[in-house]
Amino acid sequence: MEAPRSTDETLLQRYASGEVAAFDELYARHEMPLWRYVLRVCGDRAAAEELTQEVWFAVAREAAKFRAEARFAPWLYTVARNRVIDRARTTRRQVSLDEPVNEDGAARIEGLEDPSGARPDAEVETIEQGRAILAALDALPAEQREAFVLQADAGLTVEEIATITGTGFETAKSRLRYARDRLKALLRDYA
Amino acid sequence: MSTADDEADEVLAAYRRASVADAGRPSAKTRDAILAEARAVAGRRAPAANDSRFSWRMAAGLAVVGLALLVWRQLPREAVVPAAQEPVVTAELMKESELPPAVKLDMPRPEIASAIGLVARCGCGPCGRGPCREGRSTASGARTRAARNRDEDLRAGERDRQAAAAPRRSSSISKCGSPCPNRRTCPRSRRPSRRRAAL
Repeated sequence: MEAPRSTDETLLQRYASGEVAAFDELYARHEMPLWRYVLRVCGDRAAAEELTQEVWFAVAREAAKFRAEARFAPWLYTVARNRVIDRARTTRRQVSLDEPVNEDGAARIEGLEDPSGARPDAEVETIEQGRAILAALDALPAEQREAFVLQADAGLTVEEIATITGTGFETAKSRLRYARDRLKALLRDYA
Repeated sequence: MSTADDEADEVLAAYRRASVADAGRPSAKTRDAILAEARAVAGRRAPAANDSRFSWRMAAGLAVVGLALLVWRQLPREAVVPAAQEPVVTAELMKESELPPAVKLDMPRPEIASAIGLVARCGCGPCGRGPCREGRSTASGARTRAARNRDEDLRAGERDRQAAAAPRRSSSISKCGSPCPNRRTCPRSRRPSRRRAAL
């Protein structure tokens, strides 16, 4: 019989009490979701590498202060979000909610609307559809994109998203709805 | 499940497929740095935890020593001036002799006052409790009143005896029966009258 899977919170507590292997497991679980969140929010791969490293460093250093009754994932993404904001302040980069984070976001969508060459087969269609979704996601307002990624990649609830982003429940819910509607419309058009 | 939910799930699924294919993963260098830092932090945390326990033990030990000192400081006062012993001293003295206890004791008044817990803080002399306005008792209220009454009785007995045995003295004896250091301000001291001084 397989041993029950430890929760994230248990792993962090075990790491705080000196078990290094618990951190390795925790990192393996959240490495990719966190990476995707940071990459989608900051939009720059090199910056995402640095930010991800800083976030995990902070997790290692602050593990002993983690409250046992709290959930790990919201805490992790709160730390990540704060780092992203700090970095944006440091670099004095003004992020407008109306412009895409990736400068080529709009171009990617236009390129997909007018694909060159012959119509691809199913696999290529899937890839192109994926690219279209990502381009549409990049074109979303930053707040909607963040809420969507927190739900899709990190698996957080609407309430947790509201807590992390410092907004009300209804605001977080409406951001998610707008983001989904836009992506749905894109998928419908693409189909 | 409604169509809207199906569409939402479809959007999520499509995004997840695309995201996995597109985002890649952090470099091996970043991953190694993160795991190495985690090990280093865990290594630093272990001695810190030991230090913390040692500090708590030290603090607890100091607290115990402090409490013991406080208790020790309280004990002598209780032992020297127990409330139940005060009347016993006078009663024993009264049994030993017919003389008034103050005479038999033959002790300076400050010592008597000290023995019954009525030490004047101003330290202005034997009758510091009488005319001196700054004199305060260190004993509690009830015990102070009882001791004061007893002392007044002793003084009265001594005063009567001195009045009967010795001729009248002119000035330096206060009514309370002992040399008063606050002679000028003591309202109970007698000054020699001009007529008596002329004689």
